Amino acid sequence: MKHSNRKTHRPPSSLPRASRGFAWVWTLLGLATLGFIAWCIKIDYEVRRDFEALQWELPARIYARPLEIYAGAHVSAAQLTDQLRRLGYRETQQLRSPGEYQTSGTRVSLWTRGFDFWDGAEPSLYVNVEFSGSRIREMWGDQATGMVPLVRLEPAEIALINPGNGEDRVPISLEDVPPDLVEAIIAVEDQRFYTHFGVDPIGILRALVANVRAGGIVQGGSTLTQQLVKNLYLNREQTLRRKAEEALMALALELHFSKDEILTAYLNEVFLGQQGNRAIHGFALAAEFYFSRSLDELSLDELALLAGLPRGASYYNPMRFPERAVERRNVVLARMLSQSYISAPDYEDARTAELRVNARAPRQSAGYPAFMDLVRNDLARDYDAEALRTEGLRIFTTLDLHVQSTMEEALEEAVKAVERPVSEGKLEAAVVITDAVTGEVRGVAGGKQRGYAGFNRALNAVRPIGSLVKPAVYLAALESGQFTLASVLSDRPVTLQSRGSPAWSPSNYDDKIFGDVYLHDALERSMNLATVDLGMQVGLDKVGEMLTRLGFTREVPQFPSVLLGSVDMAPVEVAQFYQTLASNGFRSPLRTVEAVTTSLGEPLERYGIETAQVVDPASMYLLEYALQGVFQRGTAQTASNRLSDSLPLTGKTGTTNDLRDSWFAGYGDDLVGVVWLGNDDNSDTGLTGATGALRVWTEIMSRLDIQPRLTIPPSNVVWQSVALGPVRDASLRDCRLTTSLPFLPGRLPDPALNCEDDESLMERLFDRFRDF
Amino acid sequence: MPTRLLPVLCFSLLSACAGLDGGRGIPAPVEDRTGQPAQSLPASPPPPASVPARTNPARTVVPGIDDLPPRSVSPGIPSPAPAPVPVTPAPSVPAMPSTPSEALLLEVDAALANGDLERAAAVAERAVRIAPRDAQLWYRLASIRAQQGRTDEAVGIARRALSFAAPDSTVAQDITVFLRALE
Repeated sequence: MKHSNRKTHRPPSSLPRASRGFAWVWTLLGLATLGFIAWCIKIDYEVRRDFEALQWELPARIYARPLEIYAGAHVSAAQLTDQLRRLGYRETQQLRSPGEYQTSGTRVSLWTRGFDFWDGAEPSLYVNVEFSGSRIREMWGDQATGMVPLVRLEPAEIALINPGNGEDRVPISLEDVPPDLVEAIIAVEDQRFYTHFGVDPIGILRALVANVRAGGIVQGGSTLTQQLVKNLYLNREQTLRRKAEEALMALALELHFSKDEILTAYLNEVFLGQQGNRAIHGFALAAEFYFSRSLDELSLDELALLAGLPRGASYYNPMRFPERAVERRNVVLARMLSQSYISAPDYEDARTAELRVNARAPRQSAGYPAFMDLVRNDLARDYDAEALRTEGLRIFTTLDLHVQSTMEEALEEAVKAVERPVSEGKLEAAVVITDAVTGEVRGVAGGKQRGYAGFNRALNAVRPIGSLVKPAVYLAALESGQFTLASVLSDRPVTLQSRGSPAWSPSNYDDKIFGDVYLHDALERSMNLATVDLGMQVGLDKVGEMLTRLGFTREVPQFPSVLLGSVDMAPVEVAQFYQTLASNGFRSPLRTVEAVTTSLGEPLERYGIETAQVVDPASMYLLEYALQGVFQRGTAQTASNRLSDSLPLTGKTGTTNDLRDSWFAGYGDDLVGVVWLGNDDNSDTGLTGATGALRVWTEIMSRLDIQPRLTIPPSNVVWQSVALGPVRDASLRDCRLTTSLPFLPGRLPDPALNCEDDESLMERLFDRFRDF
Repeated sequence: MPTRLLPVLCFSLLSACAGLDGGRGIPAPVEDRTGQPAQSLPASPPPPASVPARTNPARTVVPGIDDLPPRSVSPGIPSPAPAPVPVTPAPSVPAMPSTPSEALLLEVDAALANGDLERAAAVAERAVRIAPRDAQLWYRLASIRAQQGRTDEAVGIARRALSFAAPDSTVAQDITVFLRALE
């Protein structure tokens, strides 16, 4: 066998030797050509297929609620300029372009950038805003636009949900790219871009000569097309084969796609910076990253700086190596001048321009972790994690940056100030702030530290709520029709025996006993024994049912101790419960996401305002009276000095056994706030709701200038005078001192107390005189 | 195709020899190349012709956020009776709505005219956020929801509207009729 094989390989002796060798070479060459052609076809096919379907993985962008400015809006000049700075607006002496503002006295003038919102495009607008205290007095544009009723600023980006590769970019189309930038890139990277066919022989020769002269590699001959190919398809391996492949691919790209398509892809693909795990790709994002402004707002020197970065984004990083970056920028400018893209004066201006990049990268995803947890929960219903990481969704949330940052600024100090006996830094906190009307979440803190990203107590610290439960007990009572605000309750020790649990003997805080008390007074001063008396008359089932109607979704245990708050809730659950109270008995689910659009702004999902009436307005009004009394006469009285400008307000303190949890939940007309304080190891904090959470709540809400409750009584509510002292026997009625309370018709006060019917004003006056 | 790609080999080799362009990180020397500007690029929109006028236009004090009646009557829905509207437009700016609510209600109308009900609802909600106790705005939102066939939501929102309406007002009566028709 071996032998015969060797035989067949021997060239047939009849052919001339030279001719035999020639044929052999020809065959080989033919095969190589065929192989090469096949390779070319394969590359050509792949390039065409991939480039046509070129789609980048784009992170989801999360936006805060945009600031609405209009005459009458509760927005101060400081709040507006703070927001403008956050959006990267530049303060100038004279407005020349969008993204600039100017302040003078009580006036702020600005030129907005415009933005595509879910519900339509907000135009770029020049507007003057005149302030009066913490409100906007009036607003007008220029002579063409005249008075401006309403302007919505762009929303601030608060977080990204990044794709696995960490690449971030904002795709941009060629018509939105300033010509100066394109010219700068062409001048410095590939000056024959519009004339070559993918590779540039002249450029290569020139580079070759330069390299030979320098005795090393000082210049590359790569065209933009080649650079694009390298970024898109190839790794950084630098072999001859790779270079050939790269050139082939570049030629194939140029064969099938236009210069504009290739240039657009390059502008979006190129790597221009790094921030932690996040890779900054494309010029649009680079403009935001380095300058906090959009590409079309940048000046020539700034565009030239960006155009210099593809050559070495970390080497020329303007944040870290400003000198190198400026040097490189000036190289770019010099090339632009030499290729007649810019004039000598422009060159001179730009060359000497001061470098003004962000001192550090704008804060990213670490910003609002507690809020982002809620956003993720809400989004998880409709979007899978993959879609969020890759499809470039724009997610519009309800976060109010003013509320969030004011709360964060106040929180840590306020918690430190109430910690007893000495500040060990152990006391923790959670805060949820929602819109009192719509249920939209405006701010969340999962811990006392700013931007705290650990255990999210707002969502996950499920703790007994103590007296925060009482409004549900009293509301169930008032709604039953058997009780009024002037019902007399017994605040005396009791022992309750319920099946399957040990006897329970509740007591008041400080073990006081108040005896006969009015229902409203018992709630205002948070009396435990009177509440147990009331709750047992109303029925535990009715109380549980009320909690469910108010928005608590888990099961309520049926023990008497529930009446004093041995039901566990997370701060967000408490916020939902109090949200319904604040909305006067209309339940609206708490929401963090308002709308979702594609990366191009096309509307996808929208999550609108929902609201359902769960309690009748008249009963709600009676409860509101007593809960306002908490600030006026009850457990939150200590806060009324600090909040005097905001009164009346509505709220309730909560304290749990052994002072483990200190709660306060309260609301004005605009905001609902829930504050929880406690130790993570569940130990004694030494704080009641009033000495702890209320003080923190007050600090936050007074800074937020919470708006007073101006609840209009429903038309069927009547006001009646009752004796100041509660008695059960009509013969003991004493109408010398009375108080006026709201009642429902048909549920008027007990005759034993009613000083309305048989007591004319004259008689009461007469009583007074008789007293002297 | 293959013939068109044949020159490629030479170029690829050439380009390879020109330096294995390590590119990034290596500063390129300044070159004094003169060349013609490449073909003209797509022009960007010209910069604003002038800096906005700095003179103050005739100013009118902006009234508060008014109760404005719904502007268009949706077919098939109990229509709110158009109450006389006490709107006095600013004399210097005839076509411009003067309050946020007015401006947004115009947008609601535009969206409805396009048959874009969800956008109309979105704009109405934006108005509600700005004037959260305006019964008319809530009512407007309720009627859009009803038009969308989202009756349960419409009822909840209409009841909310009613809670903000002055008793015995026209809008309260309208909402009551509207609710009766839905339920």
